[in-house]
Amino acid sequence: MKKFLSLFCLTIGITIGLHAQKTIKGYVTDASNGEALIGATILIKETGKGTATDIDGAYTMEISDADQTMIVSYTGYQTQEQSINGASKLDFLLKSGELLEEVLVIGYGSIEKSDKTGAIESIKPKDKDVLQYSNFQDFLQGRATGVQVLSSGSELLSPSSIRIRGANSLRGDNEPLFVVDGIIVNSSTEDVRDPLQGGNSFLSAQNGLSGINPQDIESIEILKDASATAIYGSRGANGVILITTKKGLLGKPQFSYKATTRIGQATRLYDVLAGDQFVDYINEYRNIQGYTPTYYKYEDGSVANFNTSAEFMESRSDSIPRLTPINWCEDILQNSTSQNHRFTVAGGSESSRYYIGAGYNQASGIIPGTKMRAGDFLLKYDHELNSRLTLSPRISASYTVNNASKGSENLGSTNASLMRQIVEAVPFLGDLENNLGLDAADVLDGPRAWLSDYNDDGTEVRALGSLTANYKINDIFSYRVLAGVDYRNKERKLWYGTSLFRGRLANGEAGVGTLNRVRYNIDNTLNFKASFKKRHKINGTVGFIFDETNVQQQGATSSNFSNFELKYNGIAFGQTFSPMQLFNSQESILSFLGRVNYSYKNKYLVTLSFREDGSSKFTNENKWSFFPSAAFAWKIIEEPFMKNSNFWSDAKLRIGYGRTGSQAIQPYQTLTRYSPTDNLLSNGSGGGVTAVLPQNLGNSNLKWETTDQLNLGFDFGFLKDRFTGNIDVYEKTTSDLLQVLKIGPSAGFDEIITNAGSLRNRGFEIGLNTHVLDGKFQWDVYGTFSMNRNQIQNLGVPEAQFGNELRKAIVGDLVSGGTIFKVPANIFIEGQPSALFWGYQTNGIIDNTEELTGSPSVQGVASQLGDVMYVDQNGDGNISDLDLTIIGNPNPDYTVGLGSDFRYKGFNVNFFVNSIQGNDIANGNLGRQGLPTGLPNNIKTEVYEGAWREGKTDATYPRLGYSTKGDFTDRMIEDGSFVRLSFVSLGYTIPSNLIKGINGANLFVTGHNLLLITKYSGFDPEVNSFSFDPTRQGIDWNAFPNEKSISFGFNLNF
Amino acid sequence: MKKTAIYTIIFILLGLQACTDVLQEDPKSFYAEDAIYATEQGVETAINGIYYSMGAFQNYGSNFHNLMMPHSGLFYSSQQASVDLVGLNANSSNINISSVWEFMYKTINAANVAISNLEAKDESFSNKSTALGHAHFVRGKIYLDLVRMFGGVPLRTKPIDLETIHLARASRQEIIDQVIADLTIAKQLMPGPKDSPNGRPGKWAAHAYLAKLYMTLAVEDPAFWQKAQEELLPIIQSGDHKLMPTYAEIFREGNENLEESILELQYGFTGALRQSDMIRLYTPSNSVFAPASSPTFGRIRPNKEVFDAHFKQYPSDPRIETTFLYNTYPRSNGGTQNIYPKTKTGNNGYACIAKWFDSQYNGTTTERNYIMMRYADVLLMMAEVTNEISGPEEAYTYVNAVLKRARDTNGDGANDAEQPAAWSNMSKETFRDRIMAERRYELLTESEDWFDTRRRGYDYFKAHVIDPHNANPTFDKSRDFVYPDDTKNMLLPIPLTEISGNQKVSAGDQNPGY
Repeated sequence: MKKFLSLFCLTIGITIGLHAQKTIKGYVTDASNGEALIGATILIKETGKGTATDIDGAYTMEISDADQTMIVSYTGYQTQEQSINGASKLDFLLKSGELLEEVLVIGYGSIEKSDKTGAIESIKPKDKDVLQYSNFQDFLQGRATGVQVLSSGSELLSPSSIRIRGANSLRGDNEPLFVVDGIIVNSSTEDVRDPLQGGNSFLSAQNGLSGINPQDIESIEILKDASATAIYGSRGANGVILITTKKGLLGKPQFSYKATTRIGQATRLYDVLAGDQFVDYINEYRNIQGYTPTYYKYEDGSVANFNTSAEFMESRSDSIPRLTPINWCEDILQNSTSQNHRFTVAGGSESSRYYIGAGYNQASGIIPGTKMRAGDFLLKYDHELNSRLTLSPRISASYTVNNASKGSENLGSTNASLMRQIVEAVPFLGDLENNLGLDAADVLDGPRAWLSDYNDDGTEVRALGSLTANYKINDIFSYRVLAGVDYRNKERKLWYGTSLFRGRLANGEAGVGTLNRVRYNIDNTLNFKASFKKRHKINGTVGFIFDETNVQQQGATSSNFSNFELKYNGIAFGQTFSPMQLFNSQESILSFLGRVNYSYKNKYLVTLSFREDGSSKFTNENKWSFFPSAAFAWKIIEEPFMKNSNFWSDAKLRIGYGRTGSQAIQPYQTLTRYSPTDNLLSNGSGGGVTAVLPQNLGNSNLKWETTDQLNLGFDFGFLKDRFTGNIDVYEKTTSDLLQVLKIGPSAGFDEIITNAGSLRNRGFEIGLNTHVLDGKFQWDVYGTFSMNRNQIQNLGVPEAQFGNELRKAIVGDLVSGGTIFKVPANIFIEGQPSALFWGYQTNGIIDNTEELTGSPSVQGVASQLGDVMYVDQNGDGNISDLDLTIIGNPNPDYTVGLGSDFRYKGFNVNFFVNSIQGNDIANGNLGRQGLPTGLPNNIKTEVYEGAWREGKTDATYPRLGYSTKGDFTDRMIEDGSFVRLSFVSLGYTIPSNLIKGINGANLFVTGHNLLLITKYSGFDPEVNSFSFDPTRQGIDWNAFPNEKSISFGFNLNF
Repeated sequence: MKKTAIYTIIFILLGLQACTDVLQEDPKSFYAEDAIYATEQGVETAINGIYYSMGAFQNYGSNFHNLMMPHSGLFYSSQQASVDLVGLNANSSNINISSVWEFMYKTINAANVAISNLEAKDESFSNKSTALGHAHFVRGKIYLDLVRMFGGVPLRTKPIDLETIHLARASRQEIIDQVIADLTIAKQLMPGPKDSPNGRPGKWAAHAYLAKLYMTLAVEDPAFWQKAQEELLPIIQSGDHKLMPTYAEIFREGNENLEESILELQYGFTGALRQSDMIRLYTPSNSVFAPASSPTFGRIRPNKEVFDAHFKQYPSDPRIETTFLYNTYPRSNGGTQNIYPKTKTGNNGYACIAKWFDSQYNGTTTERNYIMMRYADVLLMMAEVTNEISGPEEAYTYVNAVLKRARDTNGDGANDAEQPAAWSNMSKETFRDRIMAERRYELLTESEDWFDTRRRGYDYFKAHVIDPHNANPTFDKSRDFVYPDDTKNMLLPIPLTEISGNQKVSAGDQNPGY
């Protein structure tokens, strides 16, 4: 930095004679890398005249007076003022950020970037990158070290779960805390309550972090280690993501308009049997069983339902109707489209700055009828009332309308979900099996029924607002008060019509669920900053914070309709009602906090911080908890022996230790709650009377989950910062784990929320940035590498029989509510990584009688030729629960991200690749699609073709007619490693002098997800169907296919 | 600096002022326990909750049927989740076993909470003793079923708290003592049936179930026959309950809480949640007996030998038409479906139970109640008990009252059918055999089926359930299970969820044979 400063001084020092009039010209470039800044604004302060730089960053303008002052500004850079002093050539090197030094936003304050002591990663999204993402979570995948983004699916508004440095908690929330411009936003797992109950209803979650438009983001700071997050105390354990949105800049209004259009199609659909193959499959199966065939295939290849005999079929060939084969994927799936428009204006005067953004998005998904429309705006304003007091109001609001389809679903049957039925439905139109055994004329035919008879329509209003007052008491102290509000109102309306199994049972079922939530936080902070004798610099913050959340959820259901046209809107026309559900909850946190940063000679840095949190969720004995931290950094580069190095340009060692907490449980868990029963009790003559029952087992001993973390880091830069990067290693231990422990149901409840056990995460992260080429051709490459290993230290449960051994372990929740995969997939064993897969080991197919002799019976039933050979762990000749064993590990070995940005004149090409390696996926879909059971549902082609048959010795799949009781075996475990080309984009910047009134314009075309290298056989390896449920990890249960898409866009500045 | 100090003080004061009350939880949309028991109305809602819990889907509303009917050895079930039960090879992870267990204990816990709160109330609560009576009754009735199904089970008589989460199995005797204690209190505190509103049972229900317990014990210790009789006699003498004039009207749609009824689980169109699943479980699919828009499954079907035995014993018994649907039934689309005995293979190779049809069934809820105890059962118990104590002569009067009503098809008191003919001239042993069979003819699917097959010991079970099943001439080899000759079936396995969750119950505590 210093070098650039001197260069800058040199530049402005060159003054050439005094001329009364004429032209001034020069270049505006990025001070850090010399990149031309295209479209930078040049203003003459006195006259208000201005121009903008061209494609090479050059400008030329007429001036009337050589004593005038020039103001040069550019979005995201520090504005410079310079008097001309008669010069005819002036170059400007603009520095990013508002202040002299690059500033890093940290909790309740900011520091100069070079003064950071903790593991804090700062990302300043570039427009051209951020435009490729519809939400900021996905943008983070692979870009920040130690951050893993888990996708629940690829539907519109599908939520993404974020893990920072692995999962801390076995239960509850592993999501980081999000803070948007100082407003606490921790709604990632929040949604309306499922209004439909019974029958294992499952309403998949939608993105809870709505209303944050990635294009408005100025910077994202990711606080990873405890020395950075301890200031967030009880909510810092999972890391903190601070989002700072853009704000206004000095100068005339700068307008920009961006538009993107995207078109996509489902990708990686896999093969299931086509019509005539399906006929072969079912008939072959039925022949083996000695049943009459289901279908009859004529010589010309046409197919009909079999009746009576082959002779009969042939003799009446002319009159027997033929079945129409259908590929349901082709029939149902369509191309997706989306459009994105955004308009911003930013500007300001000496005393006030403003930034206004407004946008509109619309998208339709690959399922017909799925649609999302959203509009939003953001207004930021800062006003200096006087030299001491600055007021900064900020408000943003968004409105989203969404029509969803049935994606993730925790039931097992084919007809419980649209996506599953597209894959598994019988590939003939009008087949009884697809239509609940009814004539297709009465219903809507298989997967098609979902398009018209299922609705999940939502609307959401979200507003984030804050008012900040900054009062400068004197040169040392300033006081800041921030009142922030996050308001969210969401409604989801559901309808199951009678063509769907669930709707048929209930004769039409409608449900409406609403969420109404207000959260606010009031931050009072006193900041101080001082230096003594030039050697000692000290700054810091003390404060008290109050934070409250009020949630109201409502649910209403009715069923048994006599007409169906109004769908959910006709909920009042149902003939059977449940009492309306209304849930109110409130939680609050009161905190005191403090932090001191001290630096000596700008070489040795110390940060100390604490937070004392009191939570309403715990009883008085456990209400308060203290979260301290300490960090030390040594700027080796400032030492004499390094300072003059030609090689090193930055070197800093960091070490930090701290404690953070989590209280991610629902409120009122210390109390036993009494609520009315779902139905009323019948009073003996058909009427209803109120009945109440205890709902849970309150645990008054509940307390904080605490995480202690040690972090060691090294920041480095070589060759004048041509290479920069950082390395961090950490170890964190979470104790008093909040767990939902299964207890014997004789307690009247089958689980209790309690604190027990501890978990350790250790990891290693590298982030690198290089400017490979500078000059006319510019090439930047950046990359991340992260690995995390976790181990369960202690579970707080006694040893019990798990499989063939005594272990201290607990198993996760049942994956499905149906018959397939109705077992826990994950197990948590002391001394092992968390969430390992727990099932039966197998050893191929029993091909011959020799193998059969050695094969155990399965749950008491003798194996036969063509069965899957289970491994008998305990050698007792029978496969039972005692033979369950560890069959996989969903935790990745490492994750990698690699991005490249190549620029030549107006062109740029950039791409981003991300990869996760070494994790297993439990592909639950194989429980049905991977077994040739002979049941009338479709299966994968290779399952039929590779099935065992008499005399076959290399079968890869079991015999036709083979089925299990829904066992989870290692045949469902697949390697989930992948390398994905997230996007590749080609952009062109149109020179500003080409079109009058346009300061700059970019065009780009981007291909998304064009290349994916993986062995995974499902739709997409980036899948975690229950990403928010720590007890069901790494499972693909009826996930949605991903898309491959192309987008076009442009960006105009004027 | 002075100014700074002042600001700092103001700042701290502002902070402290906020911190007093804001961190207390103040529940809004639910009640805490003391609020429920603060009023008489609150107490009523809690007692309602206990009965609701008893009739819940996972309890007697559905899963009890899915568990106890197939495992009794008298029924076939086409439900995949019941395969192990149908083959009398119950698996401790069977979902029906674990949910019935869990919900029985949920009901017990609700009763425990009620009892402990009510005992602390003073007498100014006018419903204190009635409410206590109901809570004791339900707890006693459920422990009675638990001890008969599982033997000794964890004994919980206090509301659950953190210290008592893990609890070992009590002995069978301790549970029996608890049943006696609870039902004894219940019969003293519960009002008579005419004073019990909301379809709640009256005190005779407590007497009747106490008699059930004693009759179970009497097989080992004959002294209990006497005790059973002492419980049954007052029911008969009170005249509070009477046999309805005809058998058919007991199960006629719209009839509920009749004079004959002693314990009936109450259901109505009171919500959109599936609560009683009986209609779906017994009504055959695509039949005219339920609305076409509300599909039924007809999963639970009487075994071939069960149907055959009744038909063979009393070919013209009017109860057959009320109890069974057989040969054919009309399908909702106009066709006819053949069932047993017209067809003998596959799912339709079984007759159906016709007692629980509901033409108003809406696919979710039903207004049909589940009759678990009625006066005819009391009379049959009395006949059985009296035969054991003093031989058949004095016992005929009770059984013949039931048989006479069975013969009456129009309620005029005259004999309309020849069968079932009145009994006479039997030996004590014949009477014993016949009364056990008679209970099936009269009471099939009315909640005591499993218990009646087990309470007379394994030899009875083998001779009257296993052997007749395996030897029945219409046995379908491709589908019917061969019942194993295995004494483990005298009890059900303790569910796996209990063994893995309760630290004081280990795999070694499992019932023998499982």
